[in-house]
Amino acid sequence: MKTPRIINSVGHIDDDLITAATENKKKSKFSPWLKWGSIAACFAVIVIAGTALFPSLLKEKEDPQKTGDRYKDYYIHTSESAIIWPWEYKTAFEKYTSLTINDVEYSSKGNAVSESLVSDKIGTYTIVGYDEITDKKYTANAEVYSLHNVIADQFIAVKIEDNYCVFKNNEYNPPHTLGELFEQVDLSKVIELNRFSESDSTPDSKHYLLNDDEYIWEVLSECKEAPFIDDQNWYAGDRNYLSFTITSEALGDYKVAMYVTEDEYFWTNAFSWQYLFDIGEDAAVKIITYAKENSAETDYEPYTNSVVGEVVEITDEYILLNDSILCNDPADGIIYKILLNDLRISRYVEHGIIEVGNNVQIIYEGEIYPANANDANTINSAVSASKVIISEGDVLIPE
Amino acid sequence: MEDQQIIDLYFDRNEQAITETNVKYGKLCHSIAYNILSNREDSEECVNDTYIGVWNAIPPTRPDNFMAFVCRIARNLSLKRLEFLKREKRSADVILSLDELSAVLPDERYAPDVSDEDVGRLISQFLRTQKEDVRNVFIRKYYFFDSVKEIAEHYSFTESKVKNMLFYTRNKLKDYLIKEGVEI
Repeated sequence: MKTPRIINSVGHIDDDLITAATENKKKSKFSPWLKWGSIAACFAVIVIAGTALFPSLLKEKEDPQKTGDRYKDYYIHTSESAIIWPWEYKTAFEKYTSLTINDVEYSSKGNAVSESLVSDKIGTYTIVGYDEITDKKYTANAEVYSLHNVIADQFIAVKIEDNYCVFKNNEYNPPHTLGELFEQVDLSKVIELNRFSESDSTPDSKHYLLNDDEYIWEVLSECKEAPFIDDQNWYAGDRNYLSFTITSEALGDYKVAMYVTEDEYFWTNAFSWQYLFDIGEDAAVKIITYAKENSAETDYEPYTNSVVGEVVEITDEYILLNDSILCNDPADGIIYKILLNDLRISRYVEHGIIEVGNNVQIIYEGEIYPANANDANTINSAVSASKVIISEGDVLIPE
Repeated sequence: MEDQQIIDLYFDRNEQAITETNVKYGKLCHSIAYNILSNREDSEECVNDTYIGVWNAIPPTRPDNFMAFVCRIARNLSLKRLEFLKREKRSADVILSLDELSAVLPDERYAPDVSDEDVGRLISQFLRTQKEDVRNVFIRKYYFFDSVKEIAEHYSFTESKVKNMLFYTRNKLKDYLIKEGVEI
C-alpha cells in the first residue's frame, strides 16, 4: 500500500488549522439547524459509504447464535454508512430531537426509558424536529417529566407517542468534582456495573462479569473532592485500566464506557462529553483490585447482534434470510425469519433498499428464537439492515 | 513549559528537550500514531522516532508552531510505518479514511505538476471557507485519523452527523480542487 497522495497533501495543511482542531471545542452548541447540503428532492434516501470496497479489515467479529464452527472465519466490515430517512419514515424518537425549557436547550439521546424510571411531570413543552431532506421544521407538544435519581436540569424524559425518550441538556457545564456529579446523578442507582474488560473492550481483551457493584460506587462516592480534569487530549493509552461497559436507561446510554486507571483516573463518556476525574491512586487500586477479585471471566460481547445472509423471500410481514453462504458446509445454512414489525426495519423493504437476492446484514436487539421453539430462528427485534458483498471470505458493506 | 523554552533546549542540545516534548505532546503523538497503526508497540516506536526526528530538525529549524511541527512528524512517520506494515492489515479505520479521501485526488497521475505542498495549501484555503465544526471534524478525521465514534463523542454529534459532514466536505473539496485547476 502506498499512502494516497491526498493524505500526504492533508499533511501540509496550515499549522493554525491543526492547532485549532486540537483545542476543546465542545462548548460550541449543538445546532439542530445544520443543513445536510443540497439533497435532490427526488432522491429521498441517501446512502453514504466509503468509496471503495475493502478487504478483510474488520471491526466486529461475527458470532451469531453460538454456532460453533458452523461458520467460516468471517468478520463484518462496518463501513461509513448512514441513511437519511424521509420524515414519514422516521420513528417518533428520530423525528423530534430538541426542546427548550426556560432558555435551556435539550437534545434527544434517541433512547427509550421505562415508565418506572420516570418521576414528576414538569410541564408540557414544544418539541422540535427537522426534515433534513425538505429542510422543513416540525413542532409538537409533549409532556416533560423528571427522572428518578437524576436532576432535571441535566436529564429529562419526554413523552412521545406513549413512550418516554431521554433528553439531555446541551450545554457543556461539567461538575467541578466527582462529589458534584454524584449530587446531580445518583450513579449507583442509574448505572449498574456489570461487564468489564482489561484495557479497551476488543474481541482480544479479557472480559469479566462483576458479581456486585456496590463497593465500587461506595469507593467512588467517597472521592467527593476528586477534581474534574479538563484535558481533551487525555486517553487511557498505555495505562493499566479496567474498561466497564455501561448501559443506562435513565441517562439514555447504550454501551458507553467507564474507565478506572490504576494510576488515578476515573473517565467516562456517559454524559455525552468526556468526564475525567482524578480520584487518586488509592481509590483506583481499591476499585481495580475489588473488580478483579469479584468477577468471573466471560466471553466477548459484540456491540450489536447481527445475522448475515442472502434474502430469499420478502412478504409484507417478514424477510427470509439464508446464511448458508457463510457456512463451511452450505447444508448447515439456517433460514432466519425477520419480522417487519418495526418501522426501523420495514422501511428498508418499503424503500427497496433490501431486495430478494441481496446479501444483507440484519442488526437486531434481544434474542433469536431458538431452533426448538415454535417460531424457530425468528427475529422479532430487527432494527436495521445493510447490504453486504461476500467475497473471498469477507463480508463487506458496499457503497 | 512553554514551547519556545522547549525549542531553546533543542538549540542548546539539551536532552531535557525530549523529556519536555514527551510531557507536553507525548499523549497527542501517541494518539496519532495509535490511530494510524492500531498497535501499541509500533506506536511507541513511532513516537520515539518522532522525538529523534524533532531532535534532528531543531536546529536549524525554529518552528513557529511547535505542536503542529511535532504532530506533522508523528503523522508522517506513522504513515510510513503503515506502508511498511500494509500486508498485516492491522488498521481498518485508517485505511478506510485513506480510501475515502483518495477518491478526492487519486494519485500522482492526476495533476502531476502540482506539488503536495500546493495541494495542501489549497486544502487549507478550502477549509477556511468552511464552518468551524466542519473544518475541525475534517482535520480530526483525515489529519489525526480519529474514528467517527471518537469525533462524535468529542463534539457531541451523532455518528451519523459526523459521517454526513465528512461526506459533504469530501465532495465539496473535490469540486474546489477541480475549480482551482487541479485536474481530477
